[in-house]
Amino acid sequence: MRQYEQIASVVAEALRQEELVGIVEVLKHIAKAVDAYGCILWEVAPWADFDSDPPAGQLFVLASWFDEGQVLPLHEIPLDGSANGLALLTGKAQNVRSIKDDARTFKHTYITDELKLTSMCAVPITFSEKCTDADGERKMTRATLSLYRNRPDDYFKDEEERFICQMAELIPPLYESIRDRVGRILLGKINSILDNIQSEVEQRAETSGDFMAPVKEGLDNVCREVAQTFQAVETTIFLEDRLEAENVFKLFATTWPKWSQAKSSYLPRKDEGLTGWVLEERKPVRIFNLATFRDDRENLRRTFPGIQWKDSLNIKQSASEILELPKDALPPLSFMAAPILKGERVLGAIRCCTSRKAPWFFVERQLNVLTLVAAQISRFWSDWQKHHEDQEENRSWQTLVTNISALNTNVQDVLARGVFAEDDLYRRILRLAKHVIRGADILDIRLYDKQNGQLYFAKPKIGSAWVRGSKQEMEARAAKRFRVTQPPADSDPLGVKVLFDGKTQVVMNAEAVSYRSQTFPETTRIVVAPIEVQKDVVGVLDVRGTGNRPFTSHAPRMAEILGQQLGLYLSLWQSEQQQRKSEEQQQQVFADLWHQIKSPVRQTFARADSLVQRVTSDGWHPSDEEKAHSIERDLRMLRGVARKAKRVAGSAGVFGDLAREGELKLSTKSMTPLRQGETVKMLIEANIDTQHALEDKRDIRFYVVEKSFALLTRNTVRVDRDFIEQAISCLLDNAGKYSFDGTTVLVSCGEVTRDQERFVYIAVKNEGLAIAPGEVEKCKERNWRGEWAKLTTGEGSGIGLWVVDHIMKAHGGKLEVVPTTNEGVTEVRLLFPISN
Amino acid sequence: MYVLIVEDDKAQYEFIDKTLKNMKDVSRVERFSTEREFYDRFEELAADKPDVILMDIMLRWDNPARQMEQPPEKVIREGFYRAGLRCEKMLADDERTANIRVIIYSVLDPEDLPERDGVEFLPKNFDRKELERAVRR
Repeated sequence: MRQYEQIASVVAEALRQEELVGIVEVLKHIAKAVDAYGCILWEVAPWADFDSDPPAGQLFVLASWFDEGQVLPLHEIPLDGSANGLALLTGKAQNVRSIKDDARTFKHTYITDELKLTSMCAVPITFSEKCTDADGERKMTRATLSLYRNRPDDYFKDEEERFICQMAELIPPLYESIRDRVGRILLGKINSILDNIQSEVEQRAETSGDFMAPVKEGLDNVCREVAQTFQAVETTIFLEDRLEAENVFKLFATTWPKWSQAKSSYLPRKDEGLTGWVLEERKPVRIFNLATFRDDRENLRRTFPGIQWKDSLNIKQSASEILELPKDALPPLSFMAAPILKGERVLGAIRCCTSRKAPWFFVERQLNVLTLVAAQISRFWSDWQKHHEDQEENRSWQTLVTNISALNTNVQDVLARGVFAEDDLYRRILRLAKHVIRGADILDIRLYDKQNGQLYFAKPKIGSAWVRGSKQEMEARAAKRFRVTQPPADSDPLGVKVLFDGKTQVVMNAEAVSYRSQTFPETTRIVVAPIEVQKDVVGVLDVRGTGNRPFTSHAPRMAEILGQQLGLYLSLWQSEQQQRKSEEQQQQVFADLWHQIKSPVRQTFARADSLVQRVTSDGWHPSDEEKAHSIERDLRMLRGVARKAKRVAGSAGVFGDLAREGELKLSTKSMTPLRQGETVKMLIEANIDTQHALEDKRDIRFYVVEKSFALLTRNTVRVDRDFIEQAISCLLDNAGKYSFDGTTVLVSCGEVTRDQERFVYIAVKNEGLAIAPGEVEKCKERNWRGEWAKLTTGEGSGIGLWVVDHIMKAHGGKLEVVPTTNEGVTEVRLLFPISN
Repeated sequence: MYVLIVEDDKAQYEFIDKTLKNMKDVSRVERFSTEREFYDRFEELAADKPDVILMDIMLRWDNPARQMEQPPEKVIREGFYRAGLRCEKMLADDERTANIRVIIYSVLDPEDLPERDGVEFLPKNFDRKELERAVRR
């Protein structure tokens, strides 16, 4: 075959190759073209120093071919003392007619005695890839192509030498084209594998629900393809599963046969090893030979600052076993790793170690391809994580909605039965929070003790941290209280801050912001959400994570919703209780009013009946003084009882109007001027009746200051008489009930200005149970009675002053209670607006 | 017959008192007008037992006074609604007074009252004849 045909054949062979080992076929074609027994492609190892005397460095076998398929047990020769080295140093081909006798050659028994090689020709070549030299500079990689014969006296002629040089020039581009093609094929396969994972996931999810299995299988396939392409013993992928743990990169797939002995996860730290360095620095790394790591440490640290490696697996031993080669016959234990990045964020790493066939070590171009594979994995993994997170978020929201719906039904039922158990509710909320907030490990509810200004723990709690330590420690932890300062200090617990402004506090990474909890030092993340009842923050929901499992981005929102829901339930319960109390009070009021009216109504009838009987059956003459006096007395008693019945019935009427309409409305037709004479008369008679209703021995008297009522001649006050009699009757009744024995109740009239408006008032003044300044408005509240007032009356509904207050408001006036003075005098005034 | 009236309302007491004093077989009528008075004079009652006690249910604890002592906790807790029943229980729990005949005389419906052996109930209708019959029974 003519030379150009042979060159074409070599090129064609190279273009056919779809594996890196195809370089061996190219070498075979070259060898056959020059009738050589064997061919070796040598590459200069990093940090070779051509300028030193003697030159320092090695040449390593990149690939070789021999006629009988021999695999060289020899992997390296020195630069200095070899024909290949000399070819590099001189830049010229070295044609050796006798390997045994030529001083240029490196003598190895396998070459001379086993292969029986007799002659060789070594030609220098240069690859376009860069490699680091002894000065740390990046220069093009130097290599040699050497061909061998094993027939005595059969050496390469000059013409053959020239042809070899021509062929050698083809090696770099052909080898690069093989590598490029292989790289493209690999990337295509990886794309296909990663695309198929999603459909596998969907199929499996419908049947087994295990959607991680196809991911792991797919990544296993990726590792296998990469390992096969690069002929690596080991290809391993580490990834961060953010749903499980942040900043921890777990082994997801590997082809390493002894994977159970391998480190299963890495932190992004240089001290974790080579992979840790890649994860921390977010840069790729390629190490020529791990077996010489210690010797090359200085050079390696110049290229990869801070890099460390401990050889925990005893790499030479492991490689020897896997490759079934003696330790001294091992190829370079080459290593390369690339980070899997999404922007600046590292998602994981992919690494390869130890080639099992030619080419015997990883070169820069392979690392570039590995970096591209890493980019593909990055796209897949970040999409997968996002999809997974979205699914998880959807599931969490669904779970939350479903459970809140069930909780609503439960609370509704509980409210209806009036058997609200707060602890049970808190427990349910905490369990739901743990269920929907991924990574929640310690959960509790802290309530606000307003009186003491402290936050304290509600009884239900979740998390093993609560049962940590001795019994005393546990009790002390549960009993802990947190002082609430307004405004909170920076050093205050988050719960105190939430209490202050009602805003959720979030710490997603405690270490990053130097957050430290004294109660739970293991806290790595925390969300604290407010619990509001009718716009008051009454407590907080505290959710903490420990370890590396992160909260999802929706965790704060979920905690907020749970806090709001709890607040809503508590608010409903409060309203329900108020409603019940109000209903009970209303029922009690009506029961009291009914009781109060029953007796006087029955008495009124009984007395009236008795009077009629005495007059008709006993016979009576108007001149019978004793009987007349007795009848008069009975009539007064009758009037007193009837007045009481009228007052109680009036109160019931007003109560009913207010319950229905919300306010008391007076008709202008019913309003008439308050006249001095009529008013004084009415008051005197009311006084008499009230006095008669009291025990004689108590000696409480009533007196009307008649002269003071002359004010009514100068000022026109329009009133509804029935209502005013009702109001005065109530005040006099109160004065009678609450006055001390032996005192006098004074009824008078006066004038006063309030808010630049003039009023005429009727006042009832007594010495009796005190009304403190703080009780002045309270005593006008429906159903309110002072503690001593409750003890000194045998009946009553506590609505008297409430009714009077509404009567006065309906008149455009006021009920004014003057608190008890130091002398023990209390005054209650009915203020009427002046009409003129 | 000696009848003790436990009643805080003056008008109602006068009606009862008048009715009893018109009865020939009633020789003596006394009155306790507050629950406090009942507690304070319990020993006196035990020593000089009435034949019948007419007991109102809703009694005030005491009359207003400048210096007032805190009542027992159950009085504060239960209020005046059950004052007469507390007094009746005091009688029942003391062997000296357990056999005194007690007539609950009240406007409350009997269904609202707890049942007790030996305690009679008379509705407060202000019917003299009914009262006389009940006391004499």
